Amino acid sequence: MKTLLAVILLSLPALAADQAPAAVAAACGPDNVKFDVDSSGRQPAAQPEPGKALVYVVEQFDRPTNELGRPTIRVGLDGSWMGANRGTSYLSFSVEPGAHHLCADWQSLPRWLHVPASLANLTAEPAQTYYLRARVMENAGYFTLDLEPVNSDQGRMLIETSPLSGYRQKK
Amino acid sequence: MKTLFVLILSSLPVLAADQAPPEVAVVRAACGPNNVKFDVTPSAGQPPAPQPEPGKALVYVVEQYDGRALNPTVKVGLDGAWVGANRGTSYLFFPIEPGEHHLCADWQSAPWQTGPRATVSLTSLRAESGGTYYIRARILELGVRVYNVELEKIDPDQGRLLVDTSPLSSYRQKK
Repeated sequence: MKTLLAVILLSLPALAADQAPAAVAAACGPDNVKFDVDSSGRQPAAQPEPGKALVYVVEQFDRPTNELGRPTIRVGLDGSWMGANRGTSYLSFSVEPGAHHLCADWQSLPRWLHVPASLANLTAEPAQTYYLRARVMENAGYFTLDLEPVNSDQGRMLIETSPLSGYRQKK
Repeated sequence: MKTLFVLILSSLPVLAADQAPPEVAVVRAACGPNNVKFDVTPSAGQPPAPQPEPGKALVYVVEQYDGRALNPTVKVGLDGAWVGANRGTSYLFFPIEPGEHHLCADWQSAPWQTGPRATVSLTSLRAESGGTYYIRARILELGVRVYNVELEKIDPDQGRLLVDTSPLSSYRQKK
């Protein structure tokens, strides 16, 4: 009986997740879009395109002991996926100046784990560089994912010690 | 059986490792050399709050660790040199020249499970003459014995509260 109750409780968030809240839809892409990700080594630091801003998103999970230690985290911007990281890695993209909604979402996670997507706002200015960290935390078998801005020194350290992600959309 | 396994794992001593921070330019611009270590003793009592020296700013760095398992010694770096260290909940302060500065917090002999870039944290600060700045070096436990150090500027009221409720660190470099 206790087990049955636990199964029902664990499945509730997954059922609720079928309808994405508006804030999630405004930042993340469609759930059926998946990525294959390879870390492709070092790249010289990118520069913002003229008139645009540059955004780095770094995945951080400091417990790489098993498959769950290399989560594929999709990165969304204003309702579309921009790409994905897998394990310790980063990606970057240009954005127009102005307000943006970003999303980090753990791809292909067993439903019973239910780690909600994490969202962040960004007001971009031309020629600026922004660093966000998608950090996976684990405690006693429960995982959380946090997308948050980090200062430029910390962001540069994370970038310079992580491989660049090479990603392509699965067909 | 699973519970027993978890209990056994939890009871193992925390092994410390001497992990060098990542060798990248942004780290070298803020932290000091890895081979410099400190002995730290929290002072008894609360000294009166200092004032910035004329023409300079004052920086407080407060270590915050809300766990009980460890007593982390966290070195504090400024522009590529160590200025001192805290141990557990404690603080230190130092004057700086006005202008742009790069700060570092690095956990001296951190638990081995935690990777080197998780135990070093950086931030920058634009100091103004006569200003007082509060920086928190917080130890976060992100999993079973997985830790991150996070260095961040905090609100002056919060900073004052942390300083007023923490012992001042007394530190000296190990020989």
